[in-house]
Amino acid sequence: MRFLITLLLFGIIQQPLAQPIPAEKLLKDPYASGMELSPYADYISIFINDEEGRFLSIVENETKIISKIIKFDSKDYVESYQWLDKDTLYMVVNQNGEEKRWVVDVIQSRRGLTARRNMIFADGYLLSSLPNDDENILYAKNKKNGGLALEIYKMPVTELRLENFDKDYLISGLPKSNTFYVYDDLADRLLMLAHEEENESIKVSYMDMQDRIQKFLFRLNNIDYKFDPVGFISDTKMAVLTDKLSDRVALYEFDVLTQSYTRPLYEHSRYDIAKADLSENGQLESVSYYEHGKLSTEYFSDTARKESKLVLNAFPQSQFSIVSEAKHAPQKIILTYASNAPGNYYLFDEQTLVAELLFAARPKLEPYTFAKTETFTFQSVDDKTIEGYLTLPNQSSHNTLLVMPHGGPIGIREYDEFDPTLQYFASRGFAILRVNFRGSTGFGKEFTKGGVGESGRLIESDINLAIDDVYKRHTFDKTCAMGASYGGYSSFMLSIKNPERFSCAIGAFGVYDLPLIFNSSNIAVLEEYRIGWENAFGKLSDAQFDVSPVYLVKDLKVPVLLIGGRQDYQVGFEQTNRMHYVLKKFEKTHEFAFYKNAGHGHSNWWGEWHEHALTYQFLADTLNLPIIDIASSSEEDKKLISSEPLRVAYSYNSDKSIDKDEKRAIKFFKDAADLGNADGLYALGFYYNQGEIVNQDKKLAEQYFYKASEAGSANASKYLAEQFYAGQNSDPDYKRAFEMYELAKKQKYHAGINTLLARSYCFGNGVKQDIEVCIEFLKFKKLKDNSDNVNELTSSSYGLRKSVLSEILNSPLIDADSRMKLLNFLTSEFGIFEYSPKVSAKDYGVVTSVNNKFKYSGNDVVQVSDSIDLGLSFEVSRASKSTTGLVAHWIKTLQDGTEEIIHRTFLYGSGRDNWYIHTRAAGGDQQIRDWQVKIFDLHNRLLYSKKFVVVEKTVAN
Amino acid sequence: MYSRLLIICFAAFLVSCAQKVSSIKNDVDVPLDENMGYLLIGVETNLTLSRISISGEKYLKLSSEDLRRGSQFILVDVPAGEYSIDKIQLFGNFRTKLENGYWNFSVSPSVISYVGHLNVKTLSLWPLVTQVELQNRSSEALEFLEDSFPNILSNRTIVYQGPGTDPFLQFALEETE
Repeated sequence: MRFLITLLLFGIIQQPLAQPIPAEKLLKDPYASGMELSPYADYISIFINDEEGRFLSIVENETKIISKIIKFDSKDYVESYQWLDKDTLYMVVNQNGEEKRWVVDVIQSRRGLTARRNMIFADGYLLSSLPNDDENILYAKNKKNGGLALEIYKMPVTELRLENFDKDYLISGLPKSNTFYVYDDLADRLLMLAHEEENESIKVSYMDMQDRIQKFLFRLNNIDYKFDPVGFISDTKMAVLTDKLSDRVALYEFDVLTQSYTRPLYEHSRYDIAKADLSENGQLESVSYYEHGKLSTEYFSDTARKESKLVLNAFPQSQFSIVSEAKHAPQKIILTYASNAPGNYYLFDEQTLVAELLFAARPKLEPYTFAKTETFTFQSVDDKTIEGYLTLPNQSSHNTLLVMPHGGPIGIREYDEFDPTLQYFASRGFAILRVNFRGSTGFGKEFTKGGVGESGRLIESDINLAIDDVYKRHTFDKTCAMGASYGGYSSFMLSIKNPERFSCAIGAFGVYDLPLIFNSSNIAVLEEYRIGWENAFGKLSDAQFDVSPVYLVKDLKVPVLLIGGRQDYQVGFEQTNRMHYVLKKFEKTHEFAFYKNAGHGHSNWWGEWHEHALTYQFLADTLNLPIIDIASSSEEDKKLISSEPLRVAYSYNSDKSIDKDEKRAIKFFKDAADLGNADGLYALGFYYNQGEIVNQDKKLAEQYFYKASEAGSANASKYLAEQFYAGQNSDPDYKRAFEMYELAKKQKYHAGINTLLARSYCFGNGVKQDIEVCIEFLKFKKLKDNSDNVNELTSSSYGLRKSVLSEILNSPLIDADSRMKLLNFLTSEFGIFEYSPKVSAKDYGVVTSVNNKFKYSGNDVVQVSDSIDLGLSFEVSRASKSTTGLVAHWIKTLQDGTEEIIHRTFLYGSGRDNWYIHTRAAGGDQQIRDWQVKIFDLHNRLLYSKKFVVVEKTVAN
Repeated sequence: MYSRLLIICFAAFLVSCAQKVSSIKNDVDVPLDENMGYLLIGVETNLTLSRISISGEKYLKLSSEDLRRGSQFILVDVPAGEYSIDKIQLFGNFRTKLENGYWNFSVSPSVISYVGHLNVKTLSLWPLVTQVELQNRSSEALEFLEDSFPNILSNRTIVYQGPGTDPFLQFALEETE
């Protein structure tokens, strides 16, 4: 496969579409991810997710030909991977919880590139591919029977592939106490970590690969500050990211000899430093921090500054990050992204200054225009500067603000980057406000710690002030709060404390009873576990009841949606269930959905799609929003968007993912139907026709069936055809029945529809009688290998054909000539050569199943019952050994003598087969006189019949 | 997220003189002796258990009919006093030995004492690894009593006697009366 190269130093020109974006397009794994350049930039490795699955793929740089070389199962998880040399990769893949290590050879073959996987069975991990050594790699291997001890090998890739851990490759003299190693590529040093039990600390030493002398680096002992070494800036000095000496994380020079911080290298006046880079000679090249949610980088070397300027000139509207650099070539892979751009991967050549578009991370999103996020700051009640993020929709028909507090509340934060959930709601007309309230990370430790114990108090005050700020600049008709985890708690608290401001609240996987966090189990009450929660919510105290939604439920005045996961072991499902209990008891307007297989969130995209649709519909219903406008959406999007409520409806129709609730199911079928969804319309027709969950309304049901048929529902078209054919409410209208059967076939009903068309041709009902065409429609064998066939062959297809065959063969409308043609067809399709066998009964009566074998009561007098199985087993004797066939009917006779065939089938097989025919004999309200089974040969001669007389059930005294 | 107790199980020969108790089936609040109370315990397990042994004021033995795979509540009348869950017999002679101090609860006279939901999760059969935790699922317990034992619930107070302290049951019943 070859893909297009776009030479790009300018933006892509595209026709933007301000339309609702389907959840299935937004919330999914990206098409392209995890790119790595091979050492000489000959190859680019990449993970590709497409309709065929998930693959490790290789792009040949020169030709840009892509080869998918490894296909992963859906449960496989690639933990890490990297190039070892010009055509070899090292991968760590988690398969069903087991870590697998592979050396993958990329092999050029006639079919393109392929992979040869070599499993590495020795426990251990790759330390470094040694960028300055083309021959060798460093591998840390668990020592045999050595507990946590590791051996370090410097060995050629070829030897790693063979697992030849020869002594010659072993780096000797390393202490057994080391339990972990890290390699510093820039300084060419091996870093060693050892756990010291006596003082509960981690001792870190290092060794130059040149002199191989071990030296002490530092010791970490239960520190409560950040200490992230960046690299060596000289023989005895390191650059370290730490907030030990300052409120914010800053870059410091750390003297290894004196174990002291010698000088600050860089400190930002407002933000924590997130990342720092050193050059090969230990010079500071750059530092990065999140400024208004965007990763901002300052450069210190001329080279780095020049390079970044080039990239910034090329992509002025985007943020960017360098994803991979070729070790021995001037090429890099750059990812550009923004809050309104899902990201593009470019191959950038530093020498030619050319950037080639390699892949869009999410190509299916290219037709859409995304909402932008604007950032702002405001002052809190205690004069802290706080950042807010407002995402405004490109268009809206309802002018609604969603306030979305983040989780945590401590140590989490918002970013100004592309976010599928924001875009989902923005594309449906919502403005979204997010706030980096106190407790958020990135603004210094005082700001982060300032959120501890402020749940329901200053944190929500910060959010309210952010809303005030937004209200000064924008007008909204309605405001709702929604969030997950702490965001769920915060949303409920905001709406309880500010009912005049909020019209609704949505809490997912939330906390609603703060003291319960500390008392949720015999483990949670232990001091060591409580400390963790105290770092977020402060010490357990009675004051926490005053800020717990469970205990404030009386003050809740707005409708809420409560979402939870029954497997939530992070905060416990009891939190959600408890909130639900009080909402019910206090008769508060609420909706809920408890996912059976979700924990503290979803582990699959289905759950995300479901929750997003559920949330949107709650907002739409509660705020009385206009039906989402999909008139100008593509046909594909119309189908996907109208299927979102349908997915929720189906889930309420079974007990699989959430508790079954057919009334809710109907509500969501209605939502889908409002969007013109054919299956939603058909389901409503079904429910109104059946009249069990809703009041029966045959006329309304018929209207829904017609609309469903028009919208493309094959089920509805087939249903209407059956009504016309049977003449349920009037005389049969075979012509219209035939037209509807044809429509159902066009609408991809399963292959059984062919047999109903066959019946029309055989009988001349609604179409000119034509036995040849009838027989053509009865042929299934030819469909099996026909790739053009759109009517899938299913078990229902075969069942329907048996019923139709039985009806045709039993009909007096079939003349002798036609019958002969039909028998010839039975010979070619089923191998039937004998058309008139003999039948004798073996057993009959009420059927029960014992050890997977049928047992018959032997009675032909049966008692009235709601539902019993009647049956007959029989023997078939033939003149030859060939396969034979029979037609069987079950007939119900009412007290007034009215007969109705309730089950027809066509049986075939050999004499050795077990022949039987059963039916579910359910009387309902009808007064049934008897049930009859009749068996005919293929010439329509009655071979056998048996009547089962129905008597009243005797009541024991 | 906190981890839960991981217990490696072992085969052992069990000798017991505990009295087998079964959950009350009918919602009839029979008069209790002065020093008797109702014990309500939940059990959730992904494997049907053979037995749970509880020591204290009286030795109690919950048997497999109340310990089926899934989630269930067991309501029994027992002498008031201090108790401790001692052993969980999984199947055959395999049992978990519970560490002292983490599995205690008390039953108060005349009232229904909800002591928690014993969550037994067998993670692996070989080697046999089981995770056990006594969880506070008070709202679920209350819903159970409302659905299955409304008469007993209407006559008796329900109190939380499981790990930690929790006034939820009191709040739920007082505020909604």
